[in-house]
Amino acid sequence: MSHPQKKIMIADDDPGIVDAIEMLLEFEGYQVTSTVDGATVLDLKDELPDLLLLDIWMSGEDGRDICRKFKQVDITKNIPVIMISASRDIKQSALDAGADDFLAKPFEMNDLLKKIKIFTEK
Amino acid sequence: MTKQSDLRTAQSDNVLGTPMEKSHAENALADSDQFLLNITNAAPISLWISDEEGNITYTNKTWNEWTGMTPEQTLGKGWLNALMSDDRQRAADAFAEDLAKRRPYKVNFRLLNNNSGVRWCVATGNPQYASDGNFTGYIGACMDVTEKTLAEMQLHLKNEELNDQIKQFEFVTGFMPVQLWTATTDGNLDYVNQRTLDFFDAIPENIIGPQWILKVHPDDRDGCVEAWTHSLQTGEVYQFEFRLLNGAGEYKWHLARALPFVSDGKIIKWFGTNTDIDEQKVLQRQKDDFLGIASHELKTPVTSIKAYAQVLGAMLTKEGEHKKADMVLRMDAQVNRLTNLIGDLLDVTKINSGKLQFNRNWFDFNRAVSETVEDLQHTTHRHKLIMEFTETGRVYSDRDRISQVITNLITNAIKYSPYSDTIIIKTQVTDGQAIVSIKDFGIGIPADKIDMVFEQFYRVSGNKQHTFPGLGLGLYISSEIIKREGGKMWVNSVEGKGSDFCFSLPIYNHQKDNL
Repeated sequence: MSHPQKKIMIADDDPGIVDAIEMLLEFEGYQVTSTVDGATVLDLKDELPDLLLLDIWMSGEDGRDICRKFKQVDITKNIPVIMISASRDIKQSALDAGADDFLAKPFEMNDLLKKIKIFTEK
Repeated sequence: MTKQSDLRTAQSDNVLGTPMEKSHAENALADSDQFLLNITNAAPISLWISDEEGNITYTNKTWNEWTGMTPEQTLGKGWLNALMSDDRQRAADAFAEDLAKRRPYKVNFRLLNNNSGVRWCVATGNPQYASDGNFTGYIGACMDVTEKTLAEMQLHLKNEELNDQIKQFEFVTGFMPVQLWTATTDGNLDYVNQRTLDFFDAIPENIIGPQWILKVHPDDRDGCVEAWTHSLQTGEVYQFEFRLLNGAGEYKWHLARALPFVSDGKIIKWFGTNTDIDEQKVLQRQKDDFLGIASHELKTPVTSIKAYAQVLGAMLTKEGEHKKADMVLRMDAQVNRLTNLIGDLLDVTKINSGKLQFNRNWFDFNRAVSETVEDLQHTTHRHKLIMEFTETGRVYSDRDRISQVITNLITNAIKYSPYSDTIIIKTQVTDGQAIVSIKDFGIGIPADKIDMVFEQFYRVSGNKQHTFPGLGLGLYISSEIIKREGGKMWVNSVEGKGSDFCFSLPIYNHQKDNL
């Protein structure tokens, strides 16, 4: 496994996505934590991830609001955020909310891995 | 016949002196009588005189010609025999009544003409008095008003016919299940049917004229005025969808349509209808919302499947199970097909609801086309995709969307040319437009179906065309994308020889000023 130390956090309210991507990233050698409750990413104190994968529509929460706040907190503001949405039309608003990159569902897994690699190896 | 000069003779007797003078005077009077007789006979109207009892004592030649009576036959009450029997008593009674009251006489009646049918007349007469104040009778005239009366009758008939037609028109428009209206050439309403009034719960005064626009939803007004003004200026068919405020204060979607009524090459009026399409709109919105949500929801499990497939493929590869890993790859390719279908459904709902968005940037047009072509070359072994490019430079557009269009056109070209092996993709710049042409040598499109291929859900039917798979959305989506990017899409095709799909895209998009 090529990235044993990199920690990725997945925040998505869909257990299917969380499970599948978690499995993929673990297979690729990442250390993965996940939550189906987007707001918990704002309570992170320690064990900070190297990258956050954040869904835009989460039951009752707008990922863009979470992203905006995440990027305002000192300890998390430098953590790269890749936002995910089924609608590619909201790419710009995701970037405006402070996301470092964006992926529209359903994406190619290699595209996801490429982006994660770029941001975690900077 | 009583002499018409009696009145004057009586007056003259008192002023004249000697027999000589008298004879001279009588001669002069006779001349004067003859002169007067000549004048009255030459008049184009009938003249008459009656005594104080109302008996006719004189009628001129004109009357005799009109009635075919001899002068003697008209005397006394004889003139009444010339009148049509229906009018006789009325005319006689009116004369008797006026005579009794010594007032001016006026009555109309019809004469039985001796040779040319009925003559319409108006007879008038004024009471006459001698110098001593004694009533002496009437002097009157009778005018031929046949022409005028017939014209009036004709007009009356026409008016009745017209009124009848208007009533029929209102009857028909009243029960029609649409709002029907007419407008003057300046765009103001001048008629609405009962259904319109019922919808607005208004009196005509509140709708007729220019104020109808106030019933249109504020958000729809500008577009409505623009479309209506355009039609008024060009004479083109008016068509617009807007929301109208009903009497209960609710806005309901309507489709307005109007056609100009042309007379002598000039538009004199507009005839229009407003059809209630509210239910249709609600259903359409529900359908679009459903498709939007459904396709959105489908994307999430598809993403999971792709992730699992990737992991499974990698695991199998690692375990040396290359054949199984290859199957997983093929599975992934089928999931991608599914993804594209979902994407098409989502795009259609966005187009229909006006929510298709574009992320425009400057990009090298030829490079974008060639990258798309190269990607697609990997998907086909049978077809060789030949690129014949001329320099196009950069264009300002949504690169992903343009790639989507090119992908769709090439995929179609591959799909519809199963027995040929070449597809030619050309680019060029003409008049500030980047033009792409994708030519195949496949089954082509029947001439009478060419115009319909860009319609939503349309699939070409023919001997074999219907056997090809697809939702019938690709060309519709592609043409809508190109249209919204300011370009045009068209096709040249010969059935059995192949098709050449082309689109043009303005190099300088309308947003260039913002750059």
